[in-house]
Formats: sequence, structure tokens, C-alpha cells
Amino acid sequence: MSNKKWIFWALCLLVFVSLAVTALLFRDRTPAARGNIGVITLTGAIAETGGDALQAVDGITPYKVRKLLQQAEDNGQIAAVVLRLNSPGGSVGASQEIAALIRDFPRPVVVSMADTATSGGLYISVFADRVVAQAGTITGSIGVITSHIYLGELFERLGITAEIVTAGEHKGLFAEPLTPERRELLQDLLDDLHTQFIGSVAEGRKLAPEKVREMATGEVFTGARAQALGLVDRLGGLPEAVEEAAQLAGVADPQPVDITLPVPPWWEALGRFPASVLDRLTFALLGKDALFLQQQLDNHLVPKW
Amino acid sequence: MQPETDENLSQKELGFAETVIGIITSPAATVREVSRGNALRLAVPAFFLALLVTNTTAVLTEPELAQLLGGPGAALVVLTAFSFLYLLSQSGLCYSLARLFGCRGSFATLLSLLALANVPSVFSAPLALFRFVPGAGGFLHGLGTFLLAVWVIALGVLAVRETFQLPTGRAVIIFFLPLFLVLLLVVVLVLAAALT
Repeated sequence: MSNKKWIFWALCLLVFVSLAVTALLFRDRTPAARGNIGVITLTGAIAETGGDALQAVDGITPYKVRKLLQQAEDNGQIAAVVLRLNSPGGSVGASQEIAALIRDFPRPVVVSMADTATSGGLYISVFADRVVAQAGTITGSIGVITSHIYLGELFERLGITAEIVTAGEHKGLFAEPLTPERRELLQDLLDDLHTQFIGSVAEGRKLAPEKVREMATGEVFTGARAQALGLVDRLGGLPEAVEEAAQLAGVADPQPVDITLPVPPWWEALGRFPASVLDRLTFALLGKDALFLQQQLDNHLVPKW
Repeated sequence: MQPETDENLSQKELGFAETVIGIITSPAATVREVSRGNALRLAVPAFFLALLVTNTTAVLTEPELAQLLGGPGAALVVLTAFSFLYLLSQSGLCYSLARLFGCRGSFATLLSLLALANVPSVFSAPLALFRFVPGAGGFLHGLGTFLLAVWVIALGVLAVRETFQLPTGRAVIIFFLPLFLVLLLVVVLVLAAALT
């Protein structure tokens, strides 16, 4: 064999060995493999579907929380999870689903409230094993809110005639002006959801329902006041929450590690591109009114915590 | 080892191993020899082999990149396809520019030589190991990667020079002009996006 062929095979061997060693050394470099307290950051409004493209906020969805908790559960080294939460609340069903995921998680869960954990943000916290908040965190707001938007006059101004045909006495609730009777129906609905909220806080925080009902006026509290009311266990930030998680899981040397969703493949971003362009065009053409109207329509008759 | 001469290399047709090692150890003579005939049958497999090594290294050492591209397998396919498209575009643009300047040469030869110019990038695999060396490992990896890039560019200039029998200065211009044009296009597109 000529010299060049020897060199060629030597080069092949060098490359192969290098790749094998690189593969072995990088195998254990995934961040999730190196910590024992998983930290999941949840930011934004709670909703069933993803965030608002115009606001560029990702939001908190049951899908996302399920995926993140599953990732933590699949990692045998994660002994407990800290949820770093910053949320003004959101839709009722999604909040209930997320709360159930936290309640049923097989390892300890500690919520670390950031700036805000109000309403639905508080709701999803109450089933955690511990709640840690800063003294200045804004929490509370145990109440339900919704809005009814009647677009009939706008249609009239635009020269559009909207004929609404319904079957069922109150089906037109979504598209017609509120009558006193229908307002009462809506109020009953909100009262029912309010009672559910109070019941869950009482159950999750092991408080007397009467005590929770007293604080469930929709008012907000500081973290310090929330601790006095029994909604928060300890004052502090993320390090204190990690300490709590380690204590609950019996971990002597806590090593927090971020748990994040994998970056979506490029074709998913490409798939969202047309919708994103359309959103931006709408925003550019109609200005802030479009954003406001979109938010109002999103909230139309959707009860929120 | 015999000294690098055209006569030594032309004594027999170059094989795959000789071409790959020749590009690394005696680039000028190998490029000259390859430019005399149709070397696509050697150059294309050598190019894809080099890509396989480079892209596998990238996928192993940059898991975020692999995730972004849809997983390790998909990343390998995407990176390989992109690199091949880049080679075709680079060859096409260089060839068009050279013809525009009145130079004569074969597109197949240019494509073969530019493909072979990527062969030294197989060293990215052993270079990646420097990342595990404590202390100066990162610096050595960066330096090695930079030198590797210079090496590949120098071979690209050599490829243009030998294909069109040009002085080195003009070969440099023809090699870099497409890159400059692509960069200019990117800048214009970014500016247009920022202004709208």
C-alpha cells in the first residue's frame, strides 16, 4: 500500500475515534442530567392555547406545563420541582387543568411567586406542596371576571346588518345586548365559578372555607399579607424555594437545573410565519385599536380567574 | 516521500485516497492534476464524506442546533442539503463572474475543485476534542477552527485560479465577490425588513 493510502486510513481512524470520543463526552452534557431540583419558569396569562402574537408573550398553557412536568418526571435525577411563576391569571378551565397536573405530580412541587401570581396564578399555586413569595409579590384576587361585548352598533355604523338566529332561549347571550334576566344568568355562572375557586383554595391550602370566603373579594394582597392569610408558606425568592424543594425531597446538596421545552424545529416557525405577518399587518394598519379589540373579543363572555 | 511534482502525480490516474490526501498534503499539485480531467466522481463523494464528518461533529457538539433543526437526523440532512446547495451556488456564481470577466474554464472542473477544497474540514472532528481541554482548550479550538477556515478558503482560491488559469489576485476577487454579493443581499433584506 502506498504512503498516501496509509495516511488516508490513518486520517479515517483519527476522524472516527474523534467522533466517538466527542459523542461519549457530550452525551452527559445535557443540562437536565446535572441537577436534582428542576426549575420550570411559567410566565404570562393562563390559556388553553398559546400566546398572543401581537404581544409576543408565550403564555402558560396546560400543554406546556404537562410537557415540562413530564420532562421532569422522566428525569430520574430530578427529586423535586420549583415552579417560578409570574402570571396575572387567565381562563378557568386551563387553570383547573394545570392545578390538577401540579396536584398529581408524583414528586414535591414548590411554587416560587415572582412579581405577580394573582387569580388563576394563585389558583394553580394552591395545590403545590409549598408556596414561596417575596414580601412585595402581588397575589390574591380570588374572584371571577368576564365581559360582554355587543358589536351591534359598530356593525350599524359600518353598514353591516347582522341577523342573529338562535334556537334555545338564551343562546343569543353571546351576540345580543344583555337583558336583566340574562345578566342574572351570567352572574349565577360567575358565582358558581367563584365558589369553585374558594373551595379549591380551601382544599389546597387546608384553610377553612369560611376564612377563604372572607378573603375572596377579588382584592389583591402583598406576599407578606398573603403569608399572614395562609396563602403563602414562606417569604423569599427562588433560592428559598429551591431550599424548600430540597427539604421536601430529602436532598442534601440541591442543584437547581432549568427545565425547558426543546426549541421548536425550524419548519414550525416557518409554518407560523404567515399568521405572524398577518397579525403584524393588522397591527400596522389598525394600530393599537386592533390589539385592544382583539383582547376584548378574546375575553367576550369567557370567565377569567 | 517523493517531492511534489506534476510528473509524479500524472504518472497514473489519481484514486480516491490519493486525491483526499493529496489535497491535504500537496494541494497545488493535486488541484493542478485534478483540473486536467473530469474529477467529479472523486470530488463529490469526498465532499459528502467531509460534510458527514463536519455535520456529525456539529450535531454532537451543538445539541441546541440539532434540536432547532428537528433532531440529530434531520439536522444532518438539512445541513448537508444546505452545504451542497451552497457549493452549487458558489460554483455557479464564481463561474458566471469568471465568464463575465472573459476567463475560460470548465464548470465541472470548478465544481470538483471547490468540492475538494472542503476536504480539510474533516479536521473539525479532532479539533472538537480541544473543547474538553481545561484552560486553553476553548482558545485552541477557536484558533484551530479559524486556521481550518483559512485553509479551506485558500484551497477555494487555488481552485478558481487553476480552473481559469488566472493570476492569484484575480482568483481572490472572483472567489470572494459571490460571498460579498450574498452578504450585501442579506444586509439589504435585513434593512428592508427593519424599515417595513
